[in-house]
Amino acid sequence: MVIDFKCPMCGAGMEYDSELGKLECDSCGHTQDIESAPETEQEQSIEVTPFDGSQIPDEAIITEEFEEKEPSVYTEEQEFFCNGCGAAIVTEPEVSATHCPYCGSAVAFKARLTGQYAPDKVIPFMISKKEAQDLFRKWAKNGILSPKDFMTEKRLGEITGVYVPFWLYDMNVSAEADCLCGKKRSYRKGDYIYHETKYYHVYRRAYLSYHKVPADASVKMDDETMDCLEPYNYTKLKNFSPEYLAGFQAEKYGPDAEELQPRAKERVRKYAEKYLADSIRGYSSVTYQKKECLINRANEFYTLLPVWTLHYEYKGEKQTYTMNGQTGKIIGKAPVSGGRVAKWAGILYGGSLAILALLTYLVI
Amino acid sequence: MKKNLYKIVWMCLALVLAVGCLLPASTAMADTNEDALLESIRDALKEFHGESGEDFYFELEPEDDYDSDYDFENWYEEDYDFDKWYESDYEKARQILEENLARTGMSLDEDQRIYDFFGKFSRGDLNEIDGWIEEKEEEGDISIRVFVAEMDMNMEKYFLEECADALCDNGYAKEDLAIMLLNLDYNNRGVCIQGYGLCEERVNDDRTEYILDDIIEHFSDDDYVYGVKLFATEAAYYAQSTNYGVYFKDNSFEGKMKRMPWPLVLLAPAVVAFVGILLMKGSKGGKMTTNGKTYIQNGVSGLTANKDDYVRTDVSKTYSPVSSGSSGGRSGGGRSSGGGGRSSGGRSHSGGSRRF
Repeated sequence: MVIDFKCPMCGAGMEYDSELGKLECDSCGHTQDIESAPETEQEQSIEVTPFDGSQIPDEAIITEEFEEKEPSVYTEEQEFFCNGCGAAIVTEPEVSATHCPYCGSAVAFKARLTGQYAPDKVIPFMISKKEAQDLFRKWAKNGILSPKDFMTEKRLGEITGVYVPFWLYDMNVSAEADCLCGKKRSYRKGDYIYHETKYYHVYRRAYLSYHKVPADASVKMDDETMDCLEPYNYTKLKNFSPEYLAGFQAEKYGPDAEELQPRAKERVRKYAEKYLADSIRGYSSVTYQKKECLINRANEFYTLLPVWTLHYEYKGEKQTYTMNGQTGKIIGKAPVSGGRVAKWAGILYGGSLAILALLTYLVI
Repeated sequence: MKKNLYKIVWMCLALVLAVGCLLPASTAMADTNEDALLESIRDALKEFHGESGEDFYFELEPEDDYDSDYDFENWYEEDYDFDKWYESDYEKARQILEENLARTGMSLDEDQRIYDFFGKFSRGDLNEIDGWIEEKEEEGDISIRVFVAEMDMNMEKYFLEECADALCDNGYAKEDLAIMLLNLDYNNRGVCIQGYGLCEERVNDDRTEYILDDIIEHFSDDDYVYGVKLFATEAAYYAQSTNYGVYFKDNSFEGKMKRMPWPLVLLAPAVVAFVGILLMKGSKGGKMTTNGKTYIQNGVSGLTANKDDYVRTDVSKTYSPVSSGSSGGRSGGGRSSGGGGRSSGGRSHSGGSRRF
């Protein structure tokens, strides 16, 4: 089944306007609020009292809780029919929202947005397509070694807004470190230099709670690139509603929460170890005898996060440039033109040669 | 008292008379002994060779054979006449000069400042150097001469002294003369510099060493024209300067170009260009800006146990005597110990030499 976003006034397709935060009809200008579901009880419990150590939950509380979701019966369906023109829309299996290639209407596929694929949360696009183009153009200007046709107007017109699936994990960590630390000092007495090391047995234990640690669940997007796009401002998180997808592409998750959990846990383990390491201060050497992190997954949220993407092919090499659709942070390596490298190398060499020769001439 | 005086006078007279009589007698006796000795030798030869012994007769004249007044105690002073030795070196040097002049068809002349006996320089180079030296002579109010030849390095000093004498004696150069020999002998390549008259004081041994410091690298690099020109420039500079603590620095464009550390000047911009391109290129297309603090819930996170217990202290020591300080100063490596002296014509001079 296909969800479309028809204007109740004129029947034309409506799209989400990032500036208004509403659906807007390009034909008649009608705008429509998006009705979000009320905040869940779980979400409201984020506000907490200051930590004094007593809040550490016992084993019963921090055991992992999973909510079995209703499996979708439409998952494998790859052909949908546009409600506007009736044309068949054939998509890749992970696409959950797109445009009808025939009439251009924004459509979402209910089968890929409901049941086990129903997103819990969404951060709507805060940066419009025009703003994204401006940001890309500005960013491209910094790449003075890039070829001339990089980020042309035509190419900028091809940028696509995509809601990328993420799992956001709430995790609690009980971490402890036992180590032998040394404080070194040296001093002179007569003809001898004394090297003194005072050793201390240092123990640290911490309870750490990490809130909504993201792990990208897209099969298309590169994990490292998505990690670099962070952070997202979670205060703008909304309960999911398909209207947010109107005018954008969206993907459903590939790996589920269970599959992605090790990646998130590894990330949290590193955070916890760093926390403990930072708490051991004033020593010149630290030798760990025991370092342990017990990580418990408290919650996970299937969330769609906004990303602008631009594909570019240069000399047979495909590059993807991505932009955080909320903050405007851009990730991507600009292509390098050999001619421009030679030109700039010549300018730099000639310039510095002239300066150095002049300075040397004046000094010697 | 008077009686004693008469006694002494009489004794002296007696002594004089005795010596006067005995001396001729002893001489006559010696002559007699010598004649007898000669006669006995002749007889022996006749006896040995018979009458034909006459053929082997030879006249032995006492005065030709040996000197009866020979001073055996001071024999070395007579046999080893050091002045004669020196004379032979000067003669040799003079001979080298004359031979070179004859071979090349040159003659010492007031207007010639460089004598290239080796044929090192082209006509154009010689004109350039001559012109340069003439200019520097005017600046320093001295004469500057350069000789290019090949010879044993032991002869360099004498050669220049002979040249200086020949030039000054004939009025071809001023008595205030700075003179350089460029010895291009295959096994003795080197430079020798001498200063006469005012130049002995102004282009002294120490300053000569500084000149050699500056010019030697140019000769090593086969840049003979610049080396000779630099010598003339520095000689003229020092001839005008009584500030002995200040040394010459060639601030001309050519001098600066020569001193320019070209490998560094060419390589450093390449490094700058390389680093610049790397920075422009950017190593990454973006970096991760989140960390644990981004996602931690501060209100419910924190340390629950925290202790630092002292265990022990380890001490080791290393022997490191307090330094009594080190002496510094400029190294005098490669410097000669001064090549001053006096020419056969009696001109004293400063000087120095170096191999390259």
